[in-house]
Amino acid sequence: MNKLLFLCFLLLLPSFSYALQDQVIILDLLYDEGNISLQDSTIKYGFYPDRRFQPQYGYTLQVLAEEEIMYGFVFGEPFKEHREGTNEQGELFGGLHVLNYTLFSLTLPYYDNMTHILIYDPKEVIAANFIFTQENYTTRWLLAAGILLLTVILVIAFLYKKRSR
Amino acid sequence: MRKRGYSLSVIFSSLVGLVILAVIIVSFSGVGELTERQGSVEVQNFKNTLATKILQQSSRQSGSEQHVSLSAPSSAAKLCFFDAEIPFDALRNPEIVGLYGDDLQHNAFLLTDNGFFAYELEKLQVQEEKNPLCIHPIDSRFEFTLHSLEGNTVARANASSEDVSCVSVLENGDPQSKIDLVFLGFGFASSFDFGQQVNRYINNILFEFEPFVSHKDKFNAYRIDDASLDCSVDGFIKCDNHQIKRVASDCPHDQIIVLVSRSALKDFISPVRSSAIGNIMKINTADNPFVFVHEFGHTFGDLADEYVDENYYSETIFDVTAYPNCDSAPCVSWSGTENTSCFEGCSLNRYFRPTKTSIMRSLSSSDYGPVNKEELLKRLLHYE
Repeated sequence: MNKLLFLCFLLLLPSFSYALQDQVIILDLLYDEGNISLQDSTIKYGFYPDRRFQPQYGYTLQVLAEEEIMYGFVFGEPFKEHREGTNEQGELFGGLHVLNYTLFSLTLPYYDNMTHILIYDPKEVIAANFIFTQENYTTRWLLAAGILLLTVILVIAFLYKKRSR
Repeated sequence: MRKRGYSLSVIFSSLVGLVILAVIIVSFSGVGELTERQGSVEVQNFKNTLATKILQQSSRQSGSEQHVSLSAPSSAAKLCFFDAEIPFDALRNPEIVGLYGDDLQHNAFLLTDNGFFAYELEKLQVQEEKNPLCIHPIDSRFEFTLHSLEGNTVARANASSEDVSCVSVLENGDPQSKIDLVFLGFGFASSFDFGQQVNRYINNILFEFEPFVSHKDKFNAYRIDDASLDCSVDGFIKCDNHQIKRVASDCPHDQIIVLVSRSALKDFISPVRSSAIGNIMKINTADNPFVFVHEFGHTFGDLADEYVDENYYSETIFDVTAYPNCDSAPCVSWSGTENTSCFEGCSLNRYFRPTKTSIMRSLSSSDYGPVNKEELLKRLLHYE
C-alpha cells in the first residue's frame, strides 16, 4: 500500500513552468562582411518603432509563423555610420563611415508562435534565417511525458510483480 | 522462481531510480522556481510589514500622513503599486502594465532577482495620475509616504525614489501616429541636468528649424532617466547598441537620441564626434547644438552630408543615388524645386548639392534648404 502511495506521489510530482509572453523582442545582430548572425535576443514588455516610413532600398526583415508573415519591414544598411566633428571655425568635417564588422540591434513585436525570422539583403537574397522554438516549453512537455510513461511502466511492473507472488 | 523474483526486483528498483532522477532533473528548475517564488523569509517579512503599515494608516484620521522607511529585501530592485481597475499610464512602467494589466486581484508588486512577487494589500489605494507608482530602494530602504483617505491608504513616492521608466517631455497624441523621440543620457551628474538638456534640444534647437516648427504636433518626446548606458568616449561615442535599444523600448520610440554630457574644456582638449547610425543619434553636448539637427537629417531624412571631406569619403563607397540631396551634374533630381541650383561639392567634390549652404553642410546655417525640407516633409506627412 505504501509503495502504491509512493507511486501515486511520483505521478503527481512532475511540475513544469510555462513561459510568460512578452511584447517586444530585441535582436542583437552582428554584421560581418555581408553576413548577418544573431548574437543575442531580449524579450520584454515595451515598445517598438512604428516604422511608418521605410526606405525603398535596404534589408528586409520578416517574422514568420511557419509560412505566414506576421510582421515585416525594410531597414537601411546597418553598417553605415555618419560621424561628424567641428573644427575651430565651427565647420563640419568627417562623413560616412562604412563598418565591415559591427553589432546592431532591431526591436520588433514578439509573437509567441513565431517560428523563424528571415532577413533579405538589398538584392533580395536571404542574408539570415533565425529559427525560434518554444524550447523550454516543448522540452518540459517531452520530459514530463517521459516521466509519466516511466511511472506507468513502474506501476505495471509493480502490479505484475505483486500478481506473480 | 527466486531468480525471476530477483530480476523483477532489480527492474523495479531501476525504474524507481530512473523516475526519481528524471523528476529531479525536470522539477529542479520548475519546482526550484516555484520555491524561490514563494519567497524567502525576508520577502515575506517585507510583505507583512508593508501590509501592516497600510492597514494602520487607513485607520487614522483622513488627511494624516506618515513617512515610511522599510528595509528592502536584499534582492529587491523595485516596489510598485498598481491598480488595473482604474486608468493607468503604461509609460510609467511598461513591464508592470504588460504583466499585470489584467490582474484585478493584486495591487502591490515587489521586483527581486527572482521576478515579481504580487501582493493583494487591503485598504491600499493608488492615485490615478500615478498609476502604476514604482519606487526603487535607496541604501537598502524603500522610502515613501502613506496618506489616509477616507478609510483607505494612498501611497506616494518621494521625488528621489520614484522610478518612472518613461518620462513624457512632449505628448501630442497616440505614439502609433506620432514621431516618437526618446532621449537617453550618459555622463550627466543628475537627472535634473539631463532633463534640462533634453528640453533645450527639443524646444530651443530642433523646433527652431522648418519643417519641424510647423509640424511640431506630429512629435512626442520622452526621456529615460538613469539609463545606465555602457558607453565609451574616445574620439567618437561608442555604446552598446543592444543595451540602447533595450532601454529605449521602455518608451515609444522611432528615433533614439543619446545625449553624452561633456564640458567645453574637456571637449577642447579631446574632441569627440557626434554620430548617427540607423535610428540612433549620439550627440556630444559640448558640440555646437545644431549638430543634433544635422544628425537628425541623417536618421530621419536619410540626407547626405553636403560638406566635402575627400580624405574621409575617399575610403568609403558612396552611392549618390541613395540620397535626395546629392546628385551628379546637371542635378536633375531637384530641377523642379525652386531656389535650387547645382553647387559643386556634396560629400565628395565630384557630386553636387542644391543650395550654397544648409545645415547638412555647415552648422552656421539655420536652414535645411528647400530640397531637404521637401524630403523631410514627405516623411512628416506619414504621421498625423
